Amino acid sequence: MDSFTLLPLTIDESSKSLLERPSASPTPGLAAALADLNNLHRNLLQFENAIPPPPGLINPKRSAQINKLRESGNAAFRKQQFAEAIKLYTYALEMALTRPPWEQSGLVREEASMIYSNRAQANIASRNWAEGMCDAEMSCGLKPKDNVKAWYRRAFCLKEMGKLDDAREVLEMGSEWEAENQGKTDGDLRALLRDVMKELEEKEKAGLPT
Amino acid sequence: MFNVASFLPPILYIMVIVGSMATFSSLYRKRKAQAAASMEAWFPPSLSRDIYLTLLHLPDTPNPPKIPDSVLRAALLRRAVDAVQKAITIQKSKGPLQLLLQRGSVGDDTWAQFLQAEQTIDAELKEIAEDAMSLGTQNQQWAQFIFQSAAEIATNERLRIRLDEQKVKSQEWAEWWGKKTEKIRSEFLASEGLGEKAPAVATPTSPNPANVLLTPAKGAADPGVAATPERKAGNHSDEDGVLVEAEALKDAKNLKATPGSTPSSTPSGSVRRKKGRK
Repeated sequence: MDSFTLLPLTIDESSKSLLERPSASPTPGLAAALADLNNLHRNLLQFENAIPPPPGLINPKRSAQINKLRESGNAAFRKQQFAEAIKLYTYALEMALTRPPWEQSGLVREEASMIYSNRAQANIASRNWAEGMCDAEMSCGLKPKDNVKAWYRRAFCLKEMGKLDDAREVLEMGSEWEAENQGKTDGDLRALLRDVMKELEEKEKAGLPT
Repeated sequence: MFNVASFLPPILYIMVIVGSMATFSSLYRKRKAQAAASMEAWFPPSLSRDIYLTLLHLPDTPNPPKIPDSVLRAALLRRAVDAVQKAITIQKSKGPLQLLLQRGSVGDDTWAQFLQAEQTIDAELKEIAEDAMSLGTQNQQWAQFIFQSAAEIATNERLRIRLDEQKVKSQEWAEWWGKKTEKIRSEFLASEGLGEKAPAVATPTSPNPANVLLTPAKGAADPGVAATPERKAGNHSDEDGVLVEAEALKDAKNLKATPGSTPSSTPSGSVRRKKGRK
């Protein structure tokens, strides 16, 4: 494959951003690709020669800021200012999720899963079951292993919303992921599973005869 | 004289053989190339590659704009992201495809197509590495880590897409729950006139098993006390809300007689119905 399609491109001299020259048949997706590219270019200009550093090198400023926001969120939570805590966690989350793409994605997972889990807790405390469930689900999705708390919170919210079957499913899935921690940290999970099973049973008993 | 005559037949023979072989091989190659060209590409043509190469070739066009190197580098990085993604796809699908080929579930032409795609991607990666080498500097040997950066960008992009999908799902959940609470609230308000069952239902709320941090929640929910009972009611009126509503009137009395009789985390629904059957 030694050929390529010559695209109708031009450059804006002042902003140095690439533009698509208007043509009769615009290439599909080109505008979006150029927007991506221009965005990347602008972000890369902060580096010498516009070469991003290897993924291992991380800008410590952002990590520090995220941590600070999370810590103050935790402090607000301890003072039972749950709305404030949720707000702070949301800021922290925004910072974590807008981490530049050439930095390690593992770090994004780690940070975001922790913040989501914390925000789930704050949501639970202010009885926003749906939001708490979603946050916990995000946390589990980002980091399914060694994340007992998020699994627990997710199932707990489902249970509170009356979705017992879903809660059971989540708990079973969580126990599977936490199989390594069995007997150490998954006690809450199993206790909740017992509760849910009991409720399910009772519901069935009560539901069948009617 | 006779020397030439005796050498002519073998020379002619060799020439004919070599000639026919050459014709055959050229024809064969041409056909193979044609088949390869007519083969459907494994991947759609890469837009980022086209952009980068177009930028490289812009100076050949009439009154060329000046392209700074930083733009070229960004374009090369985007191209590398696409190439890395494809390389990963190829790597992942090679084993399974080989298995399918052995079992005969996949034809030879698909396999040939796959091999060609693999070759194309290898060539593409090599080309990118070379270009990165020439675009890098003495202190920054870009060719050594451009693929690391590209792979990270690819993973990060995939992660963001998944997060966005999840966000949509979350919104659906929140909407569903909002509607449900709204419905229960209106039902509750409608049935409120029938009896004072609100306090009776409200008492056994929030058993809060095992969660220490939840205990302050009760206090925090104070302004929302009115919202608590219907949320609790939502626990059991999940599928058979109508039934519960129908029973509500007579059950209200039963419940009143035993307020807070459910210390377990069981929602009051099951208790209610058991009593109803009695």
